[in-house]
Amino acid sequence: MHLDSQRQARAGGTANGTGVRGPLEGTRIIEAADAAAPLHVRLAIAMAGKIACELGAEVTVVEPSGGDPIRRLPPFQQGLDKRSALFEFLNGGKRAIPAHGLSNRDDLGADAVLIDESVRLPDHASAVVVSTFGPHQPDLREPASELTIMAMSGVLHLISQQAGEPFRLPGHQPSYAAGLAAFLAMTAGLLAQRRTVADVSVLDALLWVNWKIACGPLLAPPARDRSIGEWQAVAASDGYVALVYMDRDWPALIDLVGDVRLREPRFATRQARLENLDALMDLLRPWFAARRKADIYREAQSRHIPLGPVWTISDLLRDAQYIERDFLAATPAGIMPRLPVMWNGRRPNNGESTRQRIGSVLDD
Amino acid sequence: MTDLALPLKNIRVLDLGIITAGAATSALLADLGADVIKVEAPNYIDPFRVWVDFEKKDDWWNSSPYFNFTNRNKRSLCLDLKQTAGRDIFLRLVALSDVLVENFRRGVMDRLGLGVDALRAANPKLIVAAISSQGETGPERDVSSFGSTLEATSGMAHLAGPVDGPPVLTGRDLNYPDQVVALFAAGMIAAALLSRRRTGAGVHLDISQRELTSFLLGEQFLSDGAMPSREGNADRCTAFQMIARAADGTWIALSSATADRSVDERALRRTIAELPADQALARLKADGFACSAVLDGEDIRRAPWFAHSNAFASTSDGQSTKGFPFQFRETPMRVLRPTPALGQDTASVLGELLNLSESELASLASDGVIGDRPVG
Repeated sequence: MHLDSQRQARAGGTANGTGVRGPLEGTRIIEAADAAAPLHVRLAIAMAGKIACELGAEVTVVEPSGGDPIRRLPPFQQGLDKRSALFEFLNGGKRAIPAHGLSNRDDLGADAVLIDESVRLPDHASAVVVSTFGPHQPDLREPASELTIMAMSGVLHLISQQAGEPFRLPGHQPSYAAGLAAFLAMTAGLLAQRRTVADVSVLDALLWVNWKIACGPLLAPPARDRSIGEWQAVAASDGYVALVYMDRDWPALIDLVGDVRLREPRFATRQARLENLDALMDLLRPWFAARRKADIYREAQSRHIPLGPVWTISDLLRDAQYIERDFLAATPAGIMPRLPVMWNGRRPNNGESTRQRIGSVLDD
Repeated sequence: MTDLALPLKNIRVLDLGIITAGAATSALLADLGADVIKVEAPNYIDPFRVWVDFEKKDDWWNSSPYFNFTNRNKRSLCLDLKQTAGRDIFLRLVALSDVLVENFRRGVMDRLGLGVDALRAANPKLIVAAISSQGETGPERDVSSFGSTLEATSGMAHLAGPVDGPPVLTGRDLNYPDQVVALFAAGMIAAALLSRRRTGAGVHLDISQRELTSFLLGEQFLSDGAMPSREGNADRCTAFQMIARAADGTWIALSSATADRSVDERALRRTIAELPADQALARLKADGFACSAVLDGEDIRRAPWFAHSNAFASTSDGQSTKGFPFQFRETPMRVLRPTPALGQDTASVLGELLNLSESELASLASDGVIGDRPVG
């Protein structure tokens, strides 16, 4: 109750929440990672802190000497100062302070800290400790990267073209998935109303995401190796379309494409289609290649087929759904996605945190 | 011991979640100590129960590994929400609950008479987590999609795959957007519970899986003027990385945060191609690379670290099941309940929470309002 009362007092909370800017207003969170912490650990911590910040928490980043290494990482913005878009995305709305001069991080009055395994646990605040493998893997001490974590978790095994080279998920998905887990661990810890310590392993978070890989050996055929390519990107006249469908959608897909050869027995069941995948795609490709991806999307959706166009980031900047829902914010740093939730019909904190830019070490 | 209860002890969740996105969200809440009541109907079961091709035995609806991995630690209530009596019972349960999770197609809850207004009329303090492909509003709110559709429409697929080839999808064995949304939605529900503690008010969470997938590419939106494209397996944040095939056919992923960008990639590929995977990995480690074989499901289950991973767990009867994306030190999460059979807890839930008598339960069963097997 003690910690909760402190947060409520800071928020100036009233029974009806009047004057509260965000659901986590009044909650103080500190992020701290050693300069030598692996990039995926640092990114996971930053993502968890970003979500808290977007919900109105006061988030302070303790930057190592020389500044947060993320400040120097691509992609860079195209303006004159070429700031790191990665840093700007993750840290808008947070405070930054230098690590030197801090003798005791509890002095900052945090409710929760997000730290890497080299940082000392606080005496009072709840902690979420992010690491590559977690504290209970004595045999795993080798260096790792997002790519090798994707290899160990089986994610790479699932993403490839037929029988070809595996491909990674784009961006920083292992780190960000771990960041989502870290945010949940932190908020659950705050609900516990006592000091908690949670461990987030980036490998475990991605294994949790890819849980079907270990469920797979329990399943009957068709095996996963053969299902690679069942859903795939198909060229349209102006880009690509993701051909996604379930068994129940097959008759509608035949109607959409209108090729009577698709009614042949060799395509009649899912298993038959997997066994004759090359022949199936040879029949489907010409229809897609002759049409624009937006037209294909419209025609497919009219038949409730769940395929979708492969939109580029440029396409999304003028996407009607995103505009209608006020998902993209114009910030001093550029166009940025807001937190992907509507909270009682509005973006939390009115999207204020998204619009702000972090102060630098020197600014603070 | 009460001081060491899991964080969501005393929180009750009505789980209308299906397949992964909703059902995995509720499973996380159950892992955190909530009493999660999964609600299905005799005439509408979770499609995950029938996602797998297997021989249909007498109780086939309780046999899907996908379903059983996702729904452990819950109780099962089988109640027909399309019947007035079923909906009335459900709304009485809403009045006694803290959270409702649903990921039906938009409009289904309204057609059941269970739209947000009806739910909040029954319980103003309820947290309603509505998880959907596109969100509750907007011109595309009703479009049909699966996780991999959202990879395409979120911008993710455009950035995945070879530089000079077509995009790649994670496919139905991963369906990435369906997985990560459960982590995000559970986090939003926990934040809403914190907010409710202060304000006393319920919250309607409208969570779009497509938006989340774009959000997880946020920095790409900010690099305006230089619209990003596929990088293959390279990563501009990492000095050098690639995937190469060893002599025994094993794919090996390797990267270096410090290697000079002038590493001779072709020569390295040739070296790896001439060695079996174990020797190639040893060589790469000695040369300072982070590296791993690309593991499949069997490899993972055989790995010495598998037994120590939190991501997988065992049920009390020794069955392998889904574990946890993180773990608490003082009060570890556990799989305390195996996945219940359909309707296994109907009588106990309705008796315990609503004081329904045996004769009332029998009457509901004869009317098909409750049940323990699919019909129709």
